[in-house]
Amino acid sequence: MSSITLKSLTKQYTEDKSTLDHISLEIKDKEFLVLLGPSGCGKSTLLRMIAGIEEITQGEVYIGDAYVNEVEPKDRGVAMVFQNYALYPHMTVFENMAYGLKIKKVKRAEREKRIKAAAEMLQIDSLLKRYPSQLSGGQKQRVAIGRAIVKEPKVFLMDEPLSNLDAKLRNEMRIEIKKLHERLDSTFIYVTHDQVEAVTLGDRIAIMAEGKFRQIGTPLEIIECPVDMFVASFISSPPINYVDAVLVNQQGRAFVDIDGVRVETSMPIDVVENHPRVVAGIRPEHCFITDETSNTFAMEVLFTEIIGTDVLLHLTYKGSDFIVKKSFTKTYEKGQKLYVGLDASNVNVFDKNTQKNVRSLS
Amino acid sequence: MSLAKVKTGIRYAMLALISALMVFPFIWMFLISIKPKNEIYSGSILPSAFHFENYLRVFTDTKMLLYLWNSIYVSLIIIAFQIITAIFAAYVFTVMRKKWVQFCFVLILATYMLPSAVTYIPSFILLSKVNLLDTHTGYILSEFISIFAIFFLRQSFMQVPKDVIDAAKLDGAGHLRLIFTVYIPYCKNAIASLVLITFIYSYNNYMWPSLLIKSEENMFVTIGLRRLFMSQAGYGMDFPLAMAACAISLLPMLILLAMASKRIIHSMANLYVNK
Ligand SMILES: Nc1ncnc2c1ncn2[C@@H]1O[C@H](COP(=O)(O)OP(=O)(O)OP(=O)(O)O)[C@@H](O)[C@H]1O
Ligand SMILES: [Mg+2]
Repeated sequence: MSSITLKSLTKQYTEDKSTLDHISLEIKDKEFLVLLGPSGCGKSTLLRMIAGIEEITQGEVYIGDAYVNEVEPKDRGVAMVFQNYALYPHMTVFENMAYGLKIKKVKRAEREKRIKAAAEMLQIDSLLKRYPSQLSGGQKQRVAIGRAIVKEPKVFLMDEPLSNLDAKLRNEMRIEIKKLHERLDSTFIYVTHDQVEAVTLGDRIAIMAEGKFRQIGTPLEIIECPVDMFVASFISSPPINYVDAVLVNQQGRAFVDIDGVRVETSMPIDVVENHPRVVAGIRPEHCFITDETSNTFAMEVLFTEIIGTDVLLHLTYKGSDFIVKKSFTKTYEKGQKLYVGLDASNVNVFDKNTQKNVRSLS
Repeated sequence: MSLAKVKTGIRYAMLALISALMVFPFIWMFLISIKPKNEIYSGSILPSAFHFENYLRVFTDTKMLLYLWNSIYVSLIIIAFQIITAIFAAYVFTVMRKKWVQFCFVLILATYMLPSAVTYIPSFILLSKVNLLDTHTGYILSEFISIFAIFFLRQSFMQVPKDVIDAAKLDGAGHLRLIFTVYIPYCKNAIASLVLITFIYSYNNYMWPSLLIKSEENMFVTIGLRRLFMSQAGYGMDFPLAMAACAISLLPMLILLAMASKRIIHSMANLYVNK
């Protein structure tokens, strides 16, 4: 059993400021939890506290059923991939991976077997005799992952383990980590900045800001119904579009009205009554380009950005930017006029003052 | 010629000049050591004949060999003790950030500010109480711990990245393993420099051993050399012999420097160059 329970966990580096502020969370056995949040919000600090290498100011950490606040890091059964790799500079790649196993008195043959398997998976088997200073950033990162894998821990803590890899390798590694999770029966906590990683890997995603969780949920829950504008922005890549809107009650049905363009939403009618003025969040992939002139927005092309087989149309609408994502089938000119329609069901509306999703306020 | 080249040229010229100034006394010493006695004050730089037999005479006519042996083996023992104690002390002062531990560190550093002459009398009295005057054991005991070494090693231990230490802790390393498999290998260049500095200090040390050591068979090179000059003062100095002895006394340090120079340059660069 390697569930992880955090109870009101707090970290203060200085007296006056809480880096982590009464964080509570239950991570189930074998769950893959992704931590997502802006730089400096305390993700690394949280991982370090679970690992036992950062002092806990207040609160409790449980791994399985055991209270581990006072347990030595090595006895917690966790392995960590550090954000800046933290390889032993005076040891070769092989020695780096073998170090922890030697201490645990794993037999030599077993050691070599595990290291070989991990190195092959991570495509670093040709580097085993090199020193960290002779490796590129991406190679170091893979060695760091390898050093954690060979320990076969109950709990994996990974701090942005793929941040330094090129796109292709990152895709491959993402799949490898997913497979690893399925194979190893370990619980994973995984820090990333990359929404794609978060959504593809996470059983659940926890979005953090300023030492607190903003929202914890499955990728679907967070994408479908972000609790506030911060979460909506964070989970959306390319960035979500915000436009002022009003909620209207049209014969007992709820509509979002954006400058006369109306789409129906599945909102309880009393919410509509309570929050007339809102901000609508429209994700770039939930728009379409059309020839239809009614119930659409007239916009002008600023520039286009081609991403693989998709294209991002950067448009202007009433003086602010608006992004539409579609598959790349046609080129557009700067200054060209387009009509943009909305997919009805996918509009989230946020209270203008509190920035909270009005659906969660009802 | 570009400005950069001129600059490099000037830099090299300066370095060459300074090096020449540094090396000159040693060359002078060597030249005197092979001159006939009557040419010492002649003013000519090169001798008329080479008298390398002065070097043989150092071993036959004086007790230099014994002094050398005393100096070297005592220095080696002192190095071993100083470095081992410094490693453990530096580790404690690096790792334990508790207020009172750091206070102890400051206290220890403060004693380093004391001029060493102040400690001679109390140390002398202490050693006399335990009957260790005029013994190598007494000298080794009094040089057992070096505050400079503790300070120096703490500085380099602090350079070990925190995450590397944390990774080792997660891998299961305890205190001793941390010291021997992370800190020491990481700081091996600094330790090599420290060995050299400690050796030079201890080998060169004159004042305190000269107070402590009285009997001929326990003497160190520094005191021995001085005796060589003193003993002959009456009959006109045998300068060539004395200079040959000086030259020989330098050898151990030159050998050590040759062995460790690469690491020392490395560790100095690490200490003073911002990476
Ligand atoms: N040893 C420390 N002493 C004081 N403050 C610290 C210390 N370590 C981290 N902090 C502060 O705590 C906050 C959280 O740091 P942390 O490293 O956990 O952020 P993070 O979420 O991992 O950011 P990033 O995405 O940039 O890695 C930051 O504001 C940081 O300045
Ligand atoms: Mg971080």
